[in-house]
Amino acid sequence: MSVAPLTDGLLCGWRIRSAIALPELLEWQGDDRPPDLTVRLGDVDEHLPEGRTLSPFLEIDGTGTGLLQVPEVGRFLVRPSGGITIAPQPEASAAEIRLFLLGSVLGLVCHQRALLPLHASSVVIDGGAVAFCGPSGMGKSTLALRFARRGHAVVSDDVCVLDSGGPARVRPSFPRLKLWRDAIEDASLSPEGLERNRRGQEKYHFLEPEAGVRDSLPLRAIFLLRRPERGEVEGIERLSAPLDILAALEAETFRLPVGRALGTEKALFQARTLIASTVPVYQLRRQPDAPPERWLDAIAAIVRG
Amino acid sequence: MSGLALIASYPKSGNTWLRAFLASHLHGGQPIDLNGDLVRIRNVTGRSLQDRHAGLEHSDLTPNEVALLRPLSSRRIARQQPGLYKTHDSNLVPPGAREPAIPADAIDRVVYIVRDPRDVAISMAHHFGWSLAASVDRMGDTAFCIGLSSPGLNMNIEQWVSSWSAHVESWLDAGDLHLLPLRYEDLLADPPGHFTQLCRFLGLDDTRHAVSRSLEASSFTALADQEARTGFRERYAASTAPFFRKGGAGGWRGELPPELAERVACTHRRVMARFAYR
Repeated sequence: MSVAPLTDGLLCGWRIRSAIALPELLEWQGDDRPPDLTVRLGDVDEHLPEGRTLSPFLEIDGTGTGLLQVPEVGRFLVRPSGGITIAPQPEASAAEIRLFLLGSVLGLVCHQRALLPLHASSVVIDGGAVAFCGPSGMGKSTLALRFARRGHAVVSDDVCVLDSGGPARVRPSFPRLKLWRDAIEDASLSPEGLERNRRGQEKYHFLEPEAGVRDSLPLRAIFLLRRPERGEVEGIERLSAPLDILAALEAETFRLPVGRALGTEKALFQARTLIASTVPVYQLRRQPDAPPERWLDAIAAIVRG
Repeated sequence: MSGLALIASYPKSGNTWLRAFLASHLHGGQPIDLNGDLVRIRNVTGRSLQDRHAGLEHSDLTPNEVALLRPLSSRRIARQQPGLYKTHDSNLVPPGAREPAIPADAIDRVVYIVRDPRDVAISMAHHFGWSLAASVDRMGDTAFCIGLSSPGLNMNIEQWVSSWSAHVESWLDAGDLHLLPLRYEDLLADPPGHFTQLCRFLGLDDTRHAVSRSLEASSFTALADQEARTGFRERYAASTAPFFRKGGAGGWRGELPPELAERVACTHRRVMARFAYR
């Protein structure tokens, strides 16, 4: 049986040709360049011949090739040339494969290209990208969802990719948010009909297909979501000490050890320095279980200046 | 210290009391802030710690994958961030895995606290907002897990706890661990004696003056008063009582219906006998 070839997609400015459907992505409408990234299905060996273990499920070799193995999803071989081969486990769902392709693998691709990936959800406010960083459970995706419901386009979920060079710009990834059932229901939405993040899990993929962004955007602001520590009150405060900002941005770098292993630390440091000197970085202290609604106007007002 | 020094126990068995004591003791017996200082003895299953060492987000993994990953992450934590940690993990091999979540070679030493399961049943019911009968059922359930994320994210990752008896035996009969077993009831009956033993085992200051200072800072009254004033971050959202509720021994005699007490005694008879819980 022959199937119509899938159209190429747009991911962080790259042309991606994929053997599996990627409904998260906008269609490629750029020039007729060859694909920057190519996703194939095929056999992948259990280990890289010269690889070293960087983290329990990830190996990297001297050429910068990475091998990610997720036991119940499959193996992802990621070459610096942009060739990605996936050997899925038979029981893996399409959503599970895309979860890692558009998450860990995307992070690896950024590090192979010396681009800074921030662990952030981001939305468009006033013509620029506004990124929300912070530990899991602090409400990055939830804030992005609330802005999306108010008509703001979603620029990224987990991985927010910074362009190289100045001024600081974001390469939009895709308008999908990973959300737990409680966050979806708190926003008066239903998880019914949404794909599950993993089988049996109460975490879903919420897609705003009309809300995608095609071109890179200036990075307008970063909000670091934090829980108030003792004696602190809820609120938004701009960070002023460059060293604090640099340390925070380092901590918010997606898969930092991968960049180190690939020797891109200098480029990442330059990208963080550029942000620290040109983009306002705020700390948003709030209780993670408090309603996010009250912060939306304040965030938008600060960004609009 | 090389590797993980664990304060291990079944849930609601006095682990937080020991952490409060140690949090104070590590700072010369200073008063502690419940919501700030207990991180000196972190939960080894804390999500951000585990995510960082695993190099990915556990919220993107299935329970089977977490079970396969945990021993590998435990070894990394032992190597890169050794020290004192608390855990409610059992020392059993979870389904789908090949070794326990914290394998022996990642462990430096273990303090294991055991508490009368009938008191545990009452405390668990209040903590999780369960009925007493449900609490007793869970304690006999060899598939009992905590740290599950549903319907929202749990700040800990999945832990295979198993039944109360299996949990106790998995640690105390391991054979390959440097282990200090402590009965919660003994800690209550003679705090100076047993906390001195604890300090000696962990290589900490075991002088009488130092131990009694830290005991004062972590007394039940001090902890309960502070919870009443400022709340306690680790209190479970569905709890029906303060986290520091009574802190006593033998409360089951007045609070646990006889048929449930009998069910606990029946299910856990062998292990209870080892600790003279009659």
